Amino acid sequence: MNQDELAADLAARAEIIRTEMGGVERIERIHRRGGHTVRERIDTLVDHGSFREVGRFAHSARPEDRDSTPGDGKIGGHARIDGRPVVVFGDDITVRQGSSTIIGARKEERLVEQALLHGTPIVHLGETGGARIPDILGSEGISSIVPFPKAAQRRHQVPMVTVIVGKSFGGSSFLAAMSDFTVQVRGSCLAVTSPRVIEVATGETISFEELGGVDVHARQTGQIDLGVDTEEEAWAAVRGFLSYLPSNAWTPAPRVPADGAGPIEADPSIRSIVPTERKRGYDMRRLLNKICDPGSLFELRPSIGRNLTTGFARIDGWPIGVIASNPMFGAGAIDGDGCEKATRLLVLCDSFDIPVVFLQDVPGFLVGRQVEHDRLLYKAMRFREALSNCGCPTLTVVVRKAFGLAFKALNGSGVVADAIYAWPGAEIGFMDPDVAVNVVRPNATGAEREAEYARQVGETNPLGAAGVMKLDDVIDPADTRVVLAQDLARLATRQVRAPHRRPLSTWATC
Amino acid sequence: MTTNAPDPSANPQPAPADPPDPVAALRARAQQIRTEMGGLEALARLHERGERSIREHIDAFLDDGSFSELGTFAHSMRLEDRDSTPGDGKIGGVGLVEGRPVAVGGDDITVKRGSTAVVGSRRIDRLLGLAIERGYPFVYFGQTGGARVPDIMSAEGFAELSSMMEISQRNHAVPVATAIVGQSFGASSFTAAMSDFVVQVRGSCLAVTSPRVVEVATGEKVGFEELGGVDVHATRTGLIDLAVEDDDAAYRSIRRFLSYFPPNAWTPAPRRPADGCGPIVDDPTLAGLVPARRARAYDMRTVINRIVDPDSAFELRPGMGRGLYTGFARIDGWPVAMLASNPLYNAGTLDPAACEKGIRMLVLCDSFNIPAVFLQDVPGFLVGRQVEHSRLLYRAIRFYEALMLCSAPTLTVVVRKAFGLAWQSLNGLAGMTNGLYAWPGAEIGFMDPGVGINVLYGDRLSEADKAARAAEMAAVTSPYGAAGVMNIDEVIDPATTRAVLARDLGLLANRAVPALEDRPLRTWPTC
Repeated sequence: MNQDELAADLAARAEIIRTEMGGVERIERIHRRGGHTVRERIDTLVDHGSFREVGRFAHSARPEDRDSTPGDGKIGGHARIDGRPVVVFGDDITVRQGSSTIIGARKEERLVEQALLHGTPIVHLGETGGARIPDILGSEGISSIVPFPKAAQRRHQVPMVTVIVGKSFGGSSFLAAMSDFTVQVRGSCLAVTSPRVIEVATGETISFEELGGVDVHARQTGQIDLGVDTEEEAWAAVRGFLSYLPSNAWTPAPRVPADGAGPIEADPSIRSIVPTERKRGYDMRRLLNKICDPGSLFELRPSIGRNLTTGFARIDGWPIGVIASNPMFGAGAIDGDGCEKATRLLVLCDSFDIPVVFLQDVPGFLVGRQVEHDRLLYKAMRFREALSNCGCPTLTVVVRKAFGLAFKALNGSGVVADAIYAWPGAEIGFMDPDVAVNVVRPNATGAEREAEYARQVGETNPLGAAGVMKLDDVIDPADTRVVLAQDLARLATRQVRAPHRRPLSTWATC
Repeated sequence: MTTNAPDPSANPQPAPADPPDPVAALRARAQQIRTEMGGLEALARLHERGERSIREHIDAFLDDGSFSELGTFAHSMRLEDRDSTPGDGKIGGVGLVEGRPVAVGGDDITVKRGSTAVVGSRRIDRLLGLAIERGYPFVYFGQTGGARVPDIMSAEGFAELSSMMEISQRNHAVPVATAIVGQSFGASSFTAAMSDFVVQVRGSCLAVTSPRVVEVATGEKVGFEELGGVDVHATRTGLIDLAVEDDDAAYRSIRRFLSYFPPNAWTPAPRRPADGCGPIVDDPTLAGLVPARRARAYDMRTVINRIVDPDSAFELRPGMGRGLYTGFARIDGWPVAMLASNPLYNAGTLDPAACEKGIRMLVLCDSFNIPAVFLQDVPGFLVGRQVEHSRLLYRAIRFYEALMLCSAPTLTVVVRKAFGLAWQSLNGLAGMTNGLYAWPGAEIGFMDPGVGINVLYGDRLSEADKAARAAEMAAVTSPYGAAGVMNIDEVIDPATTRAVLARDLGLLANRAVPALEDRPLRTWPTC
């Protein structure tokens, strides 16, 4: 064959691999169920026509499977999302249920390697049935696979995102756990082991939904960041998440002026969001929406540890991480799940040098036997160590209550804040006066109790802390957005640590 | 000078008394502080209950007479409390353990129940700060009642209180050990959570919040033992490494823990030839300790005790995640961490608690560059709803990431089973493990053949056919398959296991040790 003929042959081969995948009937079965192939998903997710495949001609290492395993169960390559380069790959369930074996794993490893070398985010679409049998059944096969060494040693050099789009066991679940952001689509299942293997091994029968459905993970285990109903929502979430992060740890996060963001000016309407009645609940997200650029708040893990709201947002276009008490849930008292959410966010912010804004309205940590036995001590101290070692800038605003360890845990005085502010109605102290009065004067009643209570409330005035320079300023709530925007602009010239000198960059997000 | 200045001799003053001897005064002052502490009655009450004061704890823990105090004259910041708060609730200084320097501190419950206030916490921060600068371990005896009321009730007072930055930014520069010797809430509990080793004495309580505050805040009534006693933590929460029956056992365990460690992260861990440790010779009876029948259980500790130097095995967290034994030991005098499946419990399967034990060991190994030895006899991870909902995925992958990042040398011996992700999680990593060995009877593969056959064929095969297929499958799990493609370094005679490991540890003596900032897990918490 001459070069033209060779090129035509190449194109013909590629076309068959691309259109037939693991078999036309299998593709049709997916379509009949209303599903999509991994190629269709990639095309929908990335910028139109930007996908360029890597490892098109890969196939199984077993001679007898060569012809029936185009791509060897994994499809991937380079593409763009919102114009920025990404590496994207996913499990191809038309080839042996997307199962993981030697060549497919080699392809994924190669793509992760390229992403790390080039500094491009990784997007992974997971639905592998697990490791492929019989390929890796024996000692020769399994010893030839080291699961995702480069992803596990990634140290958050590039962002990694997983979308669980189908039934995911083994490899794709492991990648989900290693990811910075995991979205799960309703109807899929995320678990280590499939219901079938569980049943064979133990006799326990369990459905996919019950084992690892969206609701289990969003509300109970906290092993995903977001549960969504459709794939379209998942793609939007991936694009949204990546928009706040730089493409790699050695590039500054992109400033994105918000559409329709007005000038940065005092907003007296902020004053009325937080009730002065100290026991009244409210949704902190309303305040966040006023302080941040319109529509920029991207909440993570909204259904677990809800007493803390965490996520990304922008102020005057600067991307920020947000850790905010939410008094709408449990008065904003911090629990173990809240600590884990916040720790995860700090790992990302330190790794990618994104400033974190803390908003405090927190009566303390949750107390009692249950939280103690759920290891609140460990989770609180893990959060604490994350914050103490966090090298990215942090800013704190106390909007109402700030009591006890929670004041320090949410970056109060003497921790790491680049700037710490309080609103004039803030209350800062060791204990909520409601509790303090009972601890200090357990037997007091009537006027005596009232007087002690008033004294306790008076002691918590933020001017006390401001008077000894433990707060940088007491600010008018109306100025909050202005003050934070000015600080973020001031921080634009900050000294940034090298990526490998960021203490949390080695932390697992799981 | 003017000439008409009065002549002092013209109007003589009475002869002054001898000025007080400042040294004698110092001694008297220190003596009083040390003997009376927060009050003789408070001390007497302690002794009546059969308890020791913090000074007695420290003296009994350290080498005889080696304690030298720092901050003897500290007292409360509040004017009205100055005279009644010698030490401000925290006592500490430096001393020796087996001749090696350590910093030691603790809560003094004779002074306002050992509560934490500004000066006391400054004292402890200073002790730890110096230990990190100078490079020696820090040991804490914890039993604070919590933050002191009313000192820290106000915005001003609370904002002044230590944020415990020294310990939380320590990055495992020096080993930190905590003994919980009484009722511990607040700061001493936080110190425990950030420690490398925590021992709790029976009768004590370890919690964030005291039963009293829990009751005031929520109305819930709970006893000390029920809230945070040794049994709760040793078998349920996993917040401690060891539960002991009395204070003396706590001192011994800390001294023992420290014996495996260098004084700081930039010094090699001490090699210590074991007493009565014979020459490194083959042990032909070792193979017999592991039953050839694959479903038969045994206690891996009997194997460990034969591989490591006599009496050198020191198990940690024996009541949690028991499918994985973790602890420290010595082989030919070299300190090592041991991570070993224990088929005595759940056939040696890994569950989330076992993963957490493993992570903690790897953090310590990486931080102090101590080699880790893995012994595998593992059928896999535990499966089922309960473990999946207890975040098995997250714990398994955090364990795996810790292993992949660990910069300390690792050695692995497969003694029997090694299946699936568990094989990889327990350091069955071709090309990444410093030495990877298997006994000839080992089975390495994706799945236990019995399970694998049923997953593959379900009910489609007769029992006889299944048995035949299972035999075929068993053949491919032989370690020679992996050895044949150089994915394991050697198939070894079990009798030589101790000799092989001792040889490797000897060879590792000249290894390149990563600089502190190149040890990825040193910033990881142990909690």
